[in-house]
Amino acid sequence: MIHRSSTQNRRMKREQKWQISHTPVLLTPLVDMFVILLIFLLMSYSTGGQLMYMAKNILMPESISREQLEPSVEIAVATDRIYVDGQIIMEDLTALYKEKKLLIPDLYARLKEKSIKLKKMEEKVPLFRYSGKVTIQADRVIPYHLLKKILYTADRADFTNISLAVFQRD
Amino acid sequence: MKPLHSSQKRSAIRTVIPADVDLTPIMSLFIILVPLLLVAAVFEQLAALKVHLPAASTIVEDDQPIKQATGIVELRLLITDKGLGVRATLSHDDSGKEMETYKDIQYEIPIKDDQYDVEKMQRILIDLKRQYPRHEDIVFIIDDIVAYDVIVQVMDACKEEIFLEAGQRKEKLLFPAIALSDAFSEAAGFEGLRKGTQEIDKKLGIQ
Repeated sequence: MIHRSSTQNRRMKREQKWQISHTPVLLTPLVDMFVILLIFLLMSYSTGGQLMYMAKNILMPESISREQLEPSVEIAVATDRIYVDGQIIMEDLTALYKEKKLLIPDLYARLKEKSIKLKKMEEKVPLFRYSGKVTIQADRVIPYHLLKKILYTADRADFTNISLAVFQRD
Repeated sequence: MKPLHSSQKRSAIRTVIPADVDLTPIMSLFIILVPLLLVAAVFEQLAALKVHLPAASTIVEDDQPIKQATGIVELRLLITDKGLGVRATLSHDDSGKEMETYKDIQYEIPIKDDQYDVEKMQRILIDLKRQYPRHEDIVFIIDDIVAYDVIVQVMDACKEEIFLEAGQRKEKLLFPAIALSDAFSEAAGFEGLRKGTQEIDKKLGIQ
């Protein structure tokens, strides 16, 4: 065993201490990563537009349309459910698939309530105009007869300004 | 310049402090900004497709402006489970001269490899638009079992043509005024339905 002199020992300790206190954390790569992430997120950031309640299990079709969605009453149609403004109106659509009549009574009742409420608001609130706007987000696999029934019901409930919500395609 | 003494040189070297940029503030900024942008990021852009419904009544309003003759009296697009079809009733010929009797033309575009041949349909519409540039209306007649996705694709193809010109994306409108028509005005069904809404209205306490 080699015995070190006390001065040697002390110097070694000092050097060790010096090394520990000066180990730098390399923040540069982290900052690089953040800058890239920030640019990417800024690119996908959209100002304006309309926030929409996205119902679960609805895959909307893609379209080249560039028209902006406007705030309105929303009807969401999944393959087995219908929602109005995020609330479930109908949970089982099997009967509806077989139904010959175009009017959907439950949906009509709900929409009519909304349109009456909005029309009352028009009287009370200045600068508010009833526009009869409704947005339909429907799953891409639903058959036309179901869509037709919904369009018809909305039209009957005084929502005549109908838009279909779609995903934008590049 | 006077040369430095060795002791002076040493002291000059010692005073050079390694330039460490303090990254803490920028890190703090990033840590706040990144989650904020992540929350607001939109990965799927939404858009709207305007739909026009045919009038449920057959009453013609007087204040509607009389439409100028475009050469096409009516343009219809059929979507069935067998394929697509274009039907047009023409009142003018290619040269813009009015014909004595209306002429009906029709095209059938059958399903190819389980896919609707939307491109072929669009070529027909582009040809029609070239002959009759003023016409804008098209009526869709759709079979009950056709999927919503197909309707949207066909609507896109009817609305505008997208092509590349000198490497630039150009759009040209075809027939943007799309009406989703169906048996909304079916006499028997219509009366029955009206009764249906009246009952619900009564329940809701509406006159």
